[in-house]
Amino acid sequence: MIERLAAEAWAFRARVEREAAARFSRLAEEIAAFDPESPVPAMLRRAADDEHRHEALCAELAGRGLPSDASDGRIAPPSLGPREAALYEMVAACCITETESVATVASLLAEDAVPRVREVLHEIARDEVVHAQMGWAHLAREAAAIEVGFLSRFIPSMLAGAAGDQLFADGAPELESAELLRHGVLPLSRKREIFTQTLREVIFPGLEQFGISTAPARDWHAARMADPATASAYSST
Amino acid sequence: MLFKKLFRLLVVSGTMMGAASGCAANAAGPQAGASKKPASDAGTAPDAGAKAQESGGGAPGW
Repeated sequence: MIERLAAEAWAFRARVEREAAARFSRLAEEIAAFDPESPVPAMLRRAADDEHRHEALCAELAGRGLPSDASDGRIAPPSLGPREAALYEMVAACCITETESVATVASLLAEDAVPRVREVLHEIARDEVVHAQMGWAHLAREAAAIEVGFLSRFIPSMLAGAAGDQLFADGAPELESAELLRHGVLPLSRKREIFTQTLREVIFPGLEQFGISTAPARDWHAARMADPATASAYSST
Repeated sequence: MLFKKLFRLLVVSGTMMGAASGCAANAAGPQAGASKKPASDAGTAPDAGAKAQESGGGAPGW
């Protein structure tokens, strides 16, 4: 049972990595078009290569072939202009999701995982740090050029997409098994704790230093923690 | 302690990377940096009832 849950988690991660590779390739071209001197497009191209490698590693640990159902879905609201849409995606994918991933992988590396899982986590951790940094780098550049406060009202949607439907829901007892750690998967309650602490101590202060209010995001998070039954409400609106 | 380190490693270092290579406003041309441009939908009122495609989404993570 635990092995099956772990395999599903790694298969999901393989899809996430493939989707990230496509998004980073696209964003590299979009950002270079309005900020040709930025170092971020080159970082994005390298990151896309990293993600393809991660996809293969995750698929290996899932015991399956490479995923075929991931896509490069644009996640920015269509009402945004191209530059603001690129910023939206960089904040969602890097400042939030990649930053959370670094915290997750670092937490897993502190545990006693089986040797091959540990090797894979080490390789992925090294790259994910740079992937998170490129989001903060892009936000810093854009904050000097355009008003970025508009992002505030969108942060809850970004968080909902990063967390997925299950993070704040009641999970099956096997999802709390400490045995999952040996396979590179956090028990659900531990995953929720790390997500929350990363929000409060890394992501929210990071966004606030650029004048992006985190009040809507803090309200969103407080509601989830108070009432896990609402877990799917945001992701479906 | 882990999270303080992460803040420095990711947010502070990332911000420095972006700033070290000049700001985007200056890169876009001499007049672009004169003042911050408003975002394309900066005047749009918050809409708590917005549909998913209007409020955007997120990137799934680990």
